[in-house]
Order: sequence, then C-alpha cells, then structure tokens
Amino acid sequence: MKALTWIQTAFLLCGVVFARIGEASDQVKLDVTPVRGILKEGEKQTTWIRVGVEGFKLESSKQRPPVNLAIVLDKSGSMKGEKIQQAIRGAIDALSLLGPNDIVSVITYDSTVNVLVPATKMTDIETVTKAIRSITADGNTALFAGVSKGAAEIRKFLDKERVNRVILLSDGIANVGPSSPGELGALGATLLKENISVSSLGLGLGYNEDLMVQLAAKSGGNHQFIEQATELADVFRKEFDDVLSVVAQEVDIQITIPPGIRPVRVLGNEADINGQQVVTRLAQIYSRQNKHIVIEVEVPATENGSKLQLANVSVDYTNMKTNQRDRLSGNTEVKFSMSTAEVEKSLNGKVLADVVALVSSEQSKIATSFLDAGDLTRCRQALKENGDFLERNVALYPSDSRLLELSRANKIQQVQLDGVKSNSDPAANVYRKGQRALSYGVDQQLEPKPGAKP
Amino acid sequence: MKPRSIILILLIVLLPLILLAGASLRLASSEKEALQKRFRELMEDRLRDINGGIRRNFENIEREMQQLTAIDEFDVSQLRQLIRIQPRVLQLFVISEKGQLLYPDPTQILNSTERNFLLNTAKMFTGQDLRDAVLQQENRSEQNGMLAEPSISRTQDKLQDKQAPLRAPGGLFNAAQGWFVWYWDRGLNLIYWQRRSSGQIVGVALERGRWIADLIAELPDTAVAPNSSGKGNGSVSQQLNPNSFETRFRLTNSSAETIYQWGPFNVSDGVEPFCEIPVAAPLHSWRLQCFVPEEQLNLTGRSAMTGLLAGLIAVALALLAMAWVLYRDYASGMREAAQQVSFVNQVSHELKTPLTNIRLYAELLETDLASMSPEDADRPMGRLNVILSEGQRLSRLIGNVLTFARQKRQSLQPHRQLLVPDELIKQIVDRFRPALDSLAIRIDLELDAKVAMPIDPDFLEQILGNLISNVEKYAASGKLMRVRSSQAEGVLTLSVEDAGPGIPISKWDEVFRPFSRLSQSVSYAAGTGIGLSIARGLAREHGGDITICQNECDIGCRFRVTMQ
Repeated sequence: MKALTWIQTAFLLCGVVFARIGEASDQVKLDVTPVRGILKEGEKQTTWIRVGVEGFKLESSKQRPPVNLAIVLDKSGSMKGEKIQQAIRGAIDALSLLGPNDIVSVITYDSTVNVLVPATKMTDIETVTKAIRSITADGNTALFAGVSKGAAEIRKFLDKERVNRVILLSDGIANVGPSSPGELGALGATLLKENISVSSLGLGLGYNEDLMVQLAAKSGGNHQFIEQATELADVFRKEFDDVLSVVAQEVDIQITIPPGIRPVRVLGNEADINGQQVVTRLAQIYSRQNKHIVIEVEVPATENGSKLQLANVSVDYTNMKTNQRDRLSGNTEVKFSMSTAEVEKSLNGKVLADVVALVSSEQSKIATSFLDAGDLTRCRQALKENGDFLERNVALYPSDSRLLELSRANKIQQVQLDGVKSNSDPAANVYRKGQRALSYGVDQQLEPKPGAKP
Repeated sequence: MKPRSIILILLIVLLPLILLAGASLRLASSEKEALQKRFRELMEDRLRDINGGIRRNFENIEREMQQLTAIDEFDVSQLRQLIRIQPRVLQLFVISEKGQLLYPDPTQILNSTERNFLLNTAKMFTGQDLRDAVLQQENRSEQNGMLAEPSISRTQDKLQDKQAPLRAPGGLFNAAQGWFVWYWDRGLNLIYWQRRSSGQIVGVALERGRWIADLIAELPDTAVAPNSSGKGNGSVSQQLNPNSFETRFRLTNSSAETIYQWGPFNVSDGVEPFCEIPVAAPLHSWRLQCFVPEEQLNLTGRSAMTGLLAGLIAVALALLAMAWVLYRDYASGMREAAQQVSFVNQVSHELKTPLTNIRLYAELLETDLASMSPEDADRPMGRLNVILSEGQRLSRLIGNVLTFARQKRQSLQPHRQLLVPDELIKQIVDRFRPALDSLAIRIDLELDAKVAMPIDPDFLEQILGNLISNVEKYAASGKLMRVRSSQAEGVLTLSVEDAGPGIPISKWDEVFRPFSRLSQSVSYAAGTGIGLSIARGLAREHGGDITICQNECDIGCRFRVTMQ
C-alpha cells in the first residue's frame, strides 16, 4: 500500500514536470537588458536597466480566467442627460461580454452610495441590466465611498483565480468624503495588495484627473480620459476586453542590485527601494502585453575590460491559465571599455526608447506640477527641456516611431499652452488631462489611444 | 336678532371654546414634545446601533493588528515584506525596551514609505508634542472608561540623535496595548501598538484611506426607495418607525467634514443634525449624525393636532346648537310676554271707556243727590262715595298699566302746562282723603310750592297718586301720611312720608324694579308692583328722580321726588 502510493506520487511528479515543459508558451517571459551593454571605463555614471515581462497569448475566450467586476457609476447631477444614458448603454453593452462564471456588482453614487446590484454571478443578466437602466442622475459626488463600496462588493468573492477589478466612471470632482488624490491613491495601493485593481474612466473635462490617475496607477488599473460621452461604449468594451485578457496576476518583481551600484529610482511602476533591493508589484499582465520597468542606477568608476553584474531579477506571478504561482529569474551585466565607438555601438535602441519614454513622462509630470502651482514660465521651460531631450534621443534612435510620437505630443502640448495665462484656463485643463492620460499611457505602456488627444 | 343677544351667544360659544382650545393646545404641544423626545431617543438608539457596528469593526481590526504585531524577533526585510502584503498597514515600527526606535531605523537607508512615515511622525517619537498627545489620549481614555493607555514612549531627544535612548517612564506603561491617534497629511491617523513580553513595543500605523474605506464598506448604503409616494399620514407608531420616512445619517471627522453619509433624505448645507453622538474608540473626535426632515418632526405631532381640531370643532358645534336652542326658548318667551302685555294694554284701553262713563254718571248722581233732602240722600250718598273712590282706584290702576306700556315703548313725553304745584297736590290728596280717612290715616300737609311752573299734571298726579296709594296699601299701620313740597330754582321737591314698617336699605333699589314686591306671600297687601317703577320713570322723564331716604324718626319710610 505504502509502496503503491510512492509510485503514484513519482508518476504524478513526472507528469507535472513534463506538463511544465509542454506549457512553455504559457509562461510569462522575462527580459533584463541595460541601455548599453558596454560602458565607458573609469568614470562614475548613470545608466538604466529595463526589466520587461511579456504576457503569453490567451488562446481563446474559453480559456480566460473568470472575472469579478464592480462597476461604480457616478450618477451625480452633472451626469444628467446624454452622459448617464451613454454610460448605461456602454455598461450594459460591455456586460454582454461576460459569462455565467463571472461575478458582477453595480454601485452608483451621488451624495450617497447605492449598491444597486450586490456581487452576483452573471447567470441572470436581465436583472442586472434592468437595474442599470433604472439609474437616474442627481446630487453630489461621493466618489471615495463609491469606490469603498465597490471594493467591498469585490471582496465578497475575492479569489486569486479571478481577475478582480473595480471600474469607476466619474465626470466630476469628488466633493463628499475623502477627496484628495493622496487618499484615493493610498486606497488604490492597499487594494493592489489584495489583488484588486481600480480602472478609472474620466468623462469630460470636469473630473479631477490627478485623483483618478492616482487611484488607477496605484492599484494597477487603467485610466482613460473620455472626452465625449459617445465614446463611452467603446471605452467600456475596451476595459472589459482588458480585464478578460489577463494572463498573469500579482506579478512581484524583486531586483537585487550588487553592492557598489546604487539604485537611484524606478520608472514605470510604484516600487520600494530597500537598500540594494528593489521590489515592485504589477497588478497583472494582459495577453501578449509587453510591460516593463526601468531602474536608474549609478555605476561606480570601473576599469577597462572588467565586467560588472548590474542586476539579478526574480519574478513571481500567478499564472491565470494554470492558477499556479510561477517564478522567473534573469540577470544582466555590463562591460567597460575605453572606446567611445564601442560604447555607442552597444546602445540598445529599443531599450533606449522605453527608457526615454518613461523619463520624459516623469519630466512632463514635473511640467504639469508647475502648471498646477500656477508657475506657467517654469512649466513652459520644463516642457521645452523635455522636448529637447526627446529630440536628442529621436536623433540618437530615429527608427522608433514611439519617440517621434512623444516628441510630437510634446510639441502639441507646448502649442496648447500658448496664450494660456492661468492654470484655470480651459485650455490648461485640456492640456493637463491630455498630459496625464499620455503619461499614464507611457507609464502603463498602453497602446496610444487614437482620438484621446486633441 | 338683537346685537346684544348675538354677542351673548357668541360669548357663550366662544369663551368655553377658547378656554378648551388653549388647554388642549398646551396638552397637544406637550404631547408633541413627548413624541419628539421619544423620536429623538429612537434615532439616538439607531446611532448607537451603528456605533456598535463601528466599534466591532475596530475590534476586528484590533484583533488583526494584535496578531500582526505579535513580533518578538525580526529582520527588516521580513517587516518590509509584511508591510508590502498587508492591505491595512501603512507602516510598522518597533521600539526597544529601552525606548530606542529599532525600526524604521533612521540611521539606516530607508525606503520612501519609511522615510515619509518618519517625517510625518518624528514628533511622535521624540518631541513634547507627543507628551501632550499622550496626556490627551489618557484623559480621553479615562473619560470613556477604556483600557487604552498611552502608547509610545516619549523623550526630549531628537530623532537624529540615536545614541540617546527614548525614555519611558515606567508608571505609564502598565497597559499592554492600545490605540493612538496622530495627525498628519491633514487627517487623523490610527496607530495600534502592543508591548511584547520582552518589553519591546511593536506598533502599526494604519493606512488612513483604507480604514476609512473599510468603515464605509461596513456602514449601510442608500437603498433605492421602492415607492417614495407612500410616506406620511400613518399612525403615530408608524410615523415613529424610522424606516417609514427619509433620513440621512452622516459620519463626520474632527473638522466636521462629511466622511460618509447614507439615507435618501437630502440635507441642505448648514442644517444642524437632529441628533448626534461621538463615534466609538479610537475615533472619539468623529461624530455620527442623524438628519430628519423638518416636516417629519411636525408630522409626529400632527395627528394629535388633527384630533384636537376635530374635538374643538365638535365642541363648538355642540355649543352653537345649545346656544341656538336657548335663544329660541328665550325668544319665544319674550314673544309670549310681549303678546300678553299688548293684550293687557288693549283690555285696559277697552276698560277705560266704560269706567269713565261710570265715574261721570256717579258724579252726576252725586250732584242729583246733593239737591235732595239730607235724610233721604244720606244713605245713597255714602254708597255713591264708595263707587266713586273705587272708580278712581280702578282708573289709577288702568292708568298705571297704560303708562307702563308706554314707558316700555318709550313713547312717553311730558306735556307741560304752567300750573301751581300746591294746588295740584291738594286736589290729588283730596281724592285719596275718603280712602285714607276710612283707614284712619292722618294726613299732614306742609306745602310750600306756590309758584307756578311748567309741569305735566298727569305726571304729577300719577307719581303722587302711586306714592299715596303705597302708603294706603303698605303703611296704613302707621296711621300717618305727611306730604311736603318745596320749590327752589325751578325744581319742585315733594316728599311723602309714612310711619309704616319701612323698607330695608338692601331693598331700596329693588323696589323701583317693575313687578317687584317685598314679599311674595299671598296674604301680603294687594298690588301690581309696577307703581314705584312707573313713578320713577315718569319723574326721570320730567327731569327729576325719586329716591328713598331714611325717615327722621327712623320709622316708616320717606320718598323724595324731584321734578323740573
């Protein structure tokens, strides 16, 4: 009896091992690359390492992991009319993408919150759509409470095997309850720890984009700026498509930087730098999504010909296809040379483009913070510097269309701010929302959304 | 209907109504107050229920945090990992037995979260501010009978000066654990700590956005009312049911900002809450408020008011009906009396004509008898005198009745002629002389009104006749009648005195009222009871009056008449 069990176990183990090898295409790929493989010898310098992960392809929708969605709709007075109608239509339309294993809840808020549809399996779609159709707009904007209740509904069926997401639609400024971007961002960050993301859909020019972006970014959700209510159906569908194509969740990346090299900052995602350790978590990786972060490091002066280990990376994630926790690891090193030509030649253009995009995104955030503070001169100056930075790098690596795109966007931004005299100018608002959405897109490495920018 | 009776009826109806309304209004308002009080208690109970939920929520968090901070030995990466995965946690901290901050260690390289935490809470670990906060916390805990004791040790040393250990005065740290409130980032932050058996303090700062969100998740939402039209107009107990109408509950922070609210009732800005209570520990400075529509508060007293109003209307109707019945009875009585009076008047008129003829023929007979021989005429003469005096009496009676009726109709006017009063008085007294003589009443005349003056002889005759007739009827026992007259400045003053039983002072007014008699007994002297009333009425018409005065010798009574 005992012997038999042993044999069975042995077979099972073999099976698992073989299965693992067979499923190589169902693995997230990890890629760790420095901007330059060869660095100039003998000088202290700053360089960047790109840590990229790539989601595998989800074969068909049958394979997709079940989702647990909370749709949180702003039904405050400003949503009256077409906006709420489009939101209702968009939400109902998108719900048709869900299957009977998915869970959905609908929460509306104005001055108070109403859990319109408590978390329920999507077996009775009629009840849900009927409830959504009954929504009418009125009152104030208790956004924080809406998200709180949405998260609470998600938590009822919180499950590692599901994609858990709150989809928040708002067109206004949160004016009931906590309403600072910091507080919403902090809430988002704690939700990320629980594997709940919040996607924020900002409608029109009136919403507080900083707040909505923080909430989405800190929780690993999407943020979208929707200029016209008519786009709502598309936006909802796109959001649902995203949610339905998650292949990996709770992607914990740990980067160990060898002693002597100083990690300066991490771009592309919220990260903790604990001495030589960098830890960060990606909420999820979508099907075939390329996602990367960039670590800026300070390399000490090193002599010619020597090699230096730059980073050891390990990635833990939940594979949504197998529902297992998988681990990846990788590392990278640089050489040192005295030849400038060799150093120039070792430039990885693709990595450079990623790095430049993220760095310029940080730069444009700084420009916007000047605008928020009302300092238009320094805002313009920062924008200009960012433009120059982008142009230099476009010259360095002209084949990347993305850098060209960013450079063009920067020029548009500069034009947008022409003639703007105060930060309350409507044009400034258009710029601000555009910039945040763009930055957000760059940080989250989303495909640029056509029509999002004027 | 006369205005006087209308006013009377209105008074009869309105007075009790007003009194009743006043009394019941007071009753109703006290009833309303009682209802509102009950209502307030009810709402406060609800708030306490909600507060109980909040307390349980924090008890759960406390248990969770107690487990989480049950750390005796640690390395930094382990704590960092804990912070990374625990949703509620903003930052952990460890203070050694000696009061030294072991984690986050300001002398080591910190990550951004740790750095921000230390920047925000530096004073908590070092400064005087902490001392105040601790003392405040102590006071608050004592007031609320809580076990929570001040947490982190205090010291005057600066954070940077790591060598100087934080000092923890032993007496204050008998407790093993507790909550601590600290303000940063423009908001209240909660810190839980516990002292391990090693003496080490392990604390955790909670992520504010998170515990607020969790609190909100625990509190009710605004359910969509299935039918908003069905509110109000129920019984009182239904009205007191908080579910039968719109309310608004609100959780506010220390700066009175709304954190969360629920319930369909829309509160306008600046409205004071109907009732409020402080939130359970550790959120003492926050408040739970309840708002109720103004109409609802009035509604709780409304049914009582409707009942009251209905009652008042019923009472008013009853009173009106009563008053109407009374008035109808009174009016028919009046009509009857008027008919009777007019009947008597007509009869009196009818009687007057034959009586005048009788007296005329009796007087003719008297002249006839005077021409006859005394022996033949003696006996018939005596009988004739009786006829004459009785006829005079009857004339006076009828005259009185008619005068009374005229007085009532106010159609009496004096017809003045220039006459000497004394002559008239003598004639009148002479007419009574046979009757008074037969009663052995002595007549004293002291007349002193010899100047002619404009005077109505009928008035004077009737006045004096009634007074003399009274002496004859009521004061014959005195055996004396004294009539005096005087004149001064065109005013004639007469007085008629007797020595009879007199009139008590208390009745002096009464005797002038029509139909009043001093005694109702049948055996009492005959009379209609209108004589004095008529006499006074006539005297007043003639510009004078009749008064009773005390007789000089205190016997009988004296009537004093003035005319001008």
